[in-house]
This record gives sequence, structure tokens and C-alpha cells, in this order.
Amino acid sequence: MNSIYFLLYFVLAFTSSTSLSSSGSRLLVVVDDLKADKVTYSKFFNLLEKRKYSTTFATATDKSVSLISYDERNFDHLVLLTQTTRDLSEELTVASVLNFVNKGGNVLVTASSTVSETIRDFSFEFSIDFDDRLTLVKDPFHTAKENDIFSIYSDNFRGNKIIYTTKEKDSRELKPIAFKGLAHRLTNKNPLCSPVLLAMPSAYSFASADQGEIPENSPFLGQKIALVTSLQARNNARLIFSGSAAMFSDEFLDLPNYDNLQFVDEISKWVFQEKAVLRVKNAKHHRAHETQQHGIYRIKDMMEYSLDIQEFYNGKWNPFQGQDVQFEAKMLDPYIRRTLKPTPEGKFIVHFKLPDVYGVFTFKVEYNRHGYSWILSESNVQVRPYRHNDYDRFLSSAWPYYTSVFSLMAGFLVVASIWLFNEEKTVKK
Amino acid sequence: MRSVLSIFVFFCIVTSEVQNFSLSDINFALGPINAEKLKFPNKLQKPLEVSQAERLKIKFSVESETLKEKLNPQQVFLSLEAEKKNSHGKLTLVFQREEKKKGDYSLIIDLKSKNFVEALEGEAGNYLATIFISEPNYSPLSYSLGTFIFKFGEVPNINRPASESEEFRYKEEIRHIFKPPVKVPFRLISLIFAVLCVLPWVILFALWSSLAVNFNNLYATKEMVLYGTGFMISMGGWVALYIAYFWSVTLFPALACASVLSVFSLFFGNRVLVSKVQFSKLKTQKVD
Repeated sequence: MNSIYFLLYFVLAFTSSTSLSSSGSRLLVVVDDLKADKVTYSKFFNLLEKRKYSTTFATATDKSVSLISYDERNFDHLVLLTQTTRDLSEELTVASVLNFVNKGGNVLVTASSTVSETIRDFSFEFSIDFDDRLTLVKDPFHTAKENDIFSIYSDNFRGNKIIYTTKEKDSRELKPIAFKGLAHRLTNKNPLCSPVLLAMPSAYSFASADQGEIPENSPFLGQKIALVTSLQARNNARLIFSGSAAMFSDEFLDLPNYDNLQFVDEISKWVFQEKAVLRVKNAKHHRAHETQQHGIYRIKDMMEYSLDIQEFYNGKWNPFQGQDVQFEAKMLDPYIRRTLKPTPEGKFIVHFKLPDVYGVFTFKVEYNRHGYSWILSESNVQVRPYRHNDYDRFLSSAWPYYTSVFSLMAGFLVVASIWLFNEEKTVKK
Repeated sequence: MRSVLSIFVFFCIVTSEVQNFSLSDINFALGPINAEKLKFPNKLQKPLEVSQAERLKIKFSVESETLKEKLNPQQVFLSLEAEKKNSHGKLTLVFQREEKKKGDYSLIIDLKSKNFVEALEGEAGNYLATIFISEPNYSPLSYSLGTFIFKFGEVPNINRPASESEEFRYKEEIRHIFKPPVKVPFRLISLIFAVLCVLPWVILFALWSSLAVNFNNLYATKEMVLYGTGFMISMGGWVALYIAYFWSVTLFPALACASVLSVFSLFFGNRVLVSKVQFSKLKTQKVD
């Protein structure tokens, strides 16, 4: 009995200390100056602390902290707030951070006009192209702070409601976000990138020291300027690229009339996999009116395919209610594509008739939407043709043939018996 | 001295206070034809329609409202934003300064250009046009020109943003089209032909009756009764087996039954033939 209490105590102790993330609580924050930056970003760090992350702080030159040891991640999440350090430590090279992402680690990248080449190169690996050094986004029509023409604001969210807005706040009017920092653009080579916040049409990127006119072919104009971009890798690792480290600072989080605190809270929740994480359970297929799953079905069988999809938010798995999840039965090309309807419990069901083509089919549910984690559930099934006794037995068009056959058999019987047993009458001459 | 002082004060006012922009008339030209002239700060009375084959040129000059002289501000943009809700048709363009002419700006919108159509993501329709002008020490000017209607006609294959590829979108449903069932003739026709197939029996029975066909030899001898009956039963067994096979029995059980039945048929068939020969011989001897 004592051992049960002991186990229960450990379980409770463990659950109470874990973060709200679905992928772990170990967080590494890389800054330039431990003391100064802890003050500059204190509100942001408090947010993370409230969400029970076990945070490790390190400077960009600290060689004692490594992202990966013995091929295993030492951290689940990484925040790069370093802006002025030009030479990052050997543990924070582009290759090591990429390796961290390849192993499923989540990264929040922030930049400014003085950001290091390592951060630029790392971002470029994901087709995020930051503007030149010492340039800043300028928008004289949307300035967030008086006497600071480089503090701008934007409410151009490009319709991505999964990353920023939460379920409770869908109907809420979104306030603009204050921003001061570097512009970046998407090179359009990486389909996994999705902008979260774009600049307003009147914005442009400009070197603060330059007083000339803006060139016509500048790639950083208006809504081509991305301010915050999200990326979800194929392995479901998440990254956020923000051109502004300042928007995470206390100064910007405290600005009235702007929703920076809410925005930073939401995008950090997303990048650390605290929300919009999906998982699939109980994928099952069987004939309609049966419950047993088989590996082989017959053409034209009536089928039922079901699976449970759950979404992680508020620290627990909840039923997912997406209305655009689709099922495919494919053999090279899809033969059937149907939309699955969710039940309140998050069970998605579809009824369909197998095609009249036999072979090896793949039953597949692949749901790729920017913001949600990618889900893929597939299983191969054999679809066989009719057996000889599966066809209709009595065809009306074959009635003459049936009659002929049985007539022939009866004829044989009658003729044989006549030949055997007929008594010939001799005719008297 | 007084005049110098007043010039200095004026200079200080001009350089330190925020000033305003003023624009000349805005000229819109469609190809070589001057389509419209708009007086600043008025808006277009009706939407300006630009079709696929046309090039719209917008021309104006910027000057300082206070100094009354032409300027080359840092930012002279035209923003086009689709009026349709949730549309991605948004574009910012930079006005070009006319060569060697201070403060004169122009911009050509070429609807034949694939880049332009691509930038608006191929979305034709109504666009709100706004000019943005800004310069340090000047109050930024945002001037709404009105509505442009772009008609692209046939939209070429444009490159959409990679993040909006089909992979991330809801796809159209696919319903499999099944092969149609094989056409069969009407049942009545099948029935008529089935009846026609048994008609020869009528002729046969008529002919046999005229020939006075009988089964008297079955009772001629004891052997004939025994083996003849046995043979006929085994023959009936074959017919029953065929019917059963046709109805429900599958091939292998049918073969098993047939192998048993064939032993009886062979035996009784042989015996009945022997009996028939013996009976024929006996009959011949009697006649002799």
C-alpha cells in the first residue's frame, strides 16, 4: 500500500512541475547580457515562468551550454534573444541549431538591425531573408510611439487565426501590434513558412542613416514585408521568426492601445507547442454494419472509416472540431476523397462504397493546415474482385440457357430409358 | 537688419515646424488618351476601369504647401487594396521620379504584365487606390484616389505564394464513378425464348406416341427390373447433382458426390446392358 502512495506522490509531483507544453518543459534562452536582458525582457520571462518552464539562461558566447548531447536534445525549446553578439559560441552554430530542429526542438528567433550573421544564415536556411544590417522598418503613417519613427504598428494578420487568436478570443477585435525592428521577406521557396504579421501597405524598410529616395525595385515594400513568420517543419518542430526583439521587451509589452503582451503570449504558446497540436488515435476501417477491421475487402463493399483527432490546448487533449479534414482512398491517384464530419467527442467518421477497381489501396487522412501540427494516418488494404460465387446466380437473360441445359439432361435420361426398355412390336407380314 | 531677422525667423519656422504636402492635379492616362484629371484632394467620382490590354499612367507633382516649391520626398507610394473582404489582392508600388524634373512623379500600371497580375494574386475586381507621401519634417500625406477596376480577362498561370499551395488547402471531393451495370433484355423476351427451348419436347412426345413407345422391357426379367431401376435412379442422381450444383453446391463437394455416383452408375449401367443382351439372346432363341 505504501508503495502505491509513494508512486502517487511521484506522479503528482511530476505533473505539478511540468509545463503546459505538449512537447516538454526544458527551455534555453540565449541573450547577450544575462543581467541586463533579464531586466529588459522581465515580463516575457515572467510569462514563461508562470507557464512552468524550467528555463536555463545563457549568453551567446557561453560554451558550457550545448543543445545536443549524445545525439539527444538537452532542451525542448530555444529562444534566441541575442542581438549584439557577433560571434556566437560553437554550440550555437547554424548546423547545431538546425540539428536541434531536426530532432524536434522548437525555436523562437528574434532579430534586430544588429543581429548576427549566424541568425541570418540560420533563418535563410528556412527561406526567411532578413533585410540588410542597420536597416529598420519605417511607416510614417502607423507609428506606435511619438518621436520614434521606427516604432511602428500593424494589424495585418493575413488571416492566420490559429497561431494568434485562441478559441475564446475568436470574436474579439484584434488590436494592432507594436514593432521595432528588421524587415524580412519570404523567398517563396519554402511552403512551410506562413506569415503571422505583415507590415501595413505604407511601410518600407530603410537604413536609418540614409536620407535618399526608396528604390522602385525594393523587395521590402508594404505588405511584402513580413514582421513575424511561423514555420512548422515536416517533423512538427515549430519556429517563429520575429524581426523585432524589442516587441518582447517590457517597454513594448507595456504600451497602451497595443496587444503586444497578448501577441507575445500567444505566439510563444504556439511555438512551444502549448496549442494547436493535433494527434490521431484509433484510426479504424471496417465494412458497414461490422466492427472488425480486415486487411482485405471486396470491390463495391460499403465501408466505414473512423478516427479520433485530438487537439492540445489549455494543458490537456481536447476533441478537435475541424470541419475540413478529408479522407482519401488512393491507388496512385485518389479514387475517393470525402470530408469527415466530427462528432462532439472528436470522432471523425465517413461512409463510402469501395471503387469497382481492385488492387492495393491506401486509406489516408492527411491534414496540413498552417498553424496546426501536420497529421498523417494511413493504412494499406487489399481490394479483391468478386469471387465466382459473389456474382448474381440467376440471370433473367440466361433463362433460355438454363432451360436448354436441363432439357438436354432430361432428354438424355428419357432417350436412354427408351432405348433400354422399349419393347419393339414386330409387325406381322 | 529687420528684414534679415524676419528672413531668419521665417527660415526657422520653415525648418523646424512640420509642414504639409500639396499635390498638383492627378492625371490618369489610358495609353495615349488622357482619361481623367483629378484635383487634389478630391476623389474619383466614378471607378476608373482598366482592361487587360491597357496601361494606366498616373502622373502628378509634389510640392511643399508652405514653400510652394516642388519636392522629392523619401516615400511616394501607391497602394492598391482589393475591396473584396478576405482578399489577398494587395500591392504597394513606388512612383518614379521623372528624369531631371524635381517633384514630378509618374507610375505605369501595365495589366499585360505577368508580374503585376501575380502581385495581385490574379484577383481582378475593384481596388482602392491610395497615395502615401512622406518625408522627414513633413506631415505624412495619405490620399485616397478612389476605386480602380482591373479587368484581367484570362488570368495566366500565376505563381501563387508557396505557403498557399494545394497541400495546405481544402481539396475538392472526389466521387468514384462506377461502371454502369450490363444491359439485359426484357424478362418477357427471355421467357419466350426459354419456352421455345422446350418446344421440341412436344414434337418428340407426339412422335413417340405415334410409334407407341413403351417401357415394357423393364419388367421383362428380374435382372432388368433390379438393374434397370438402379440405373435409372443413378441417372436421376446425376440430374439432381447438376441441379444442386447449379443451385448452391460449389465445385469440390459436387466432384466428391459425382465420384461416388459414378461408381453406382457404372455398375448399374454395365449390369443393365448385360441383362439387356441376355434378354435379347433369350428372345432370339425363343423365336428360333
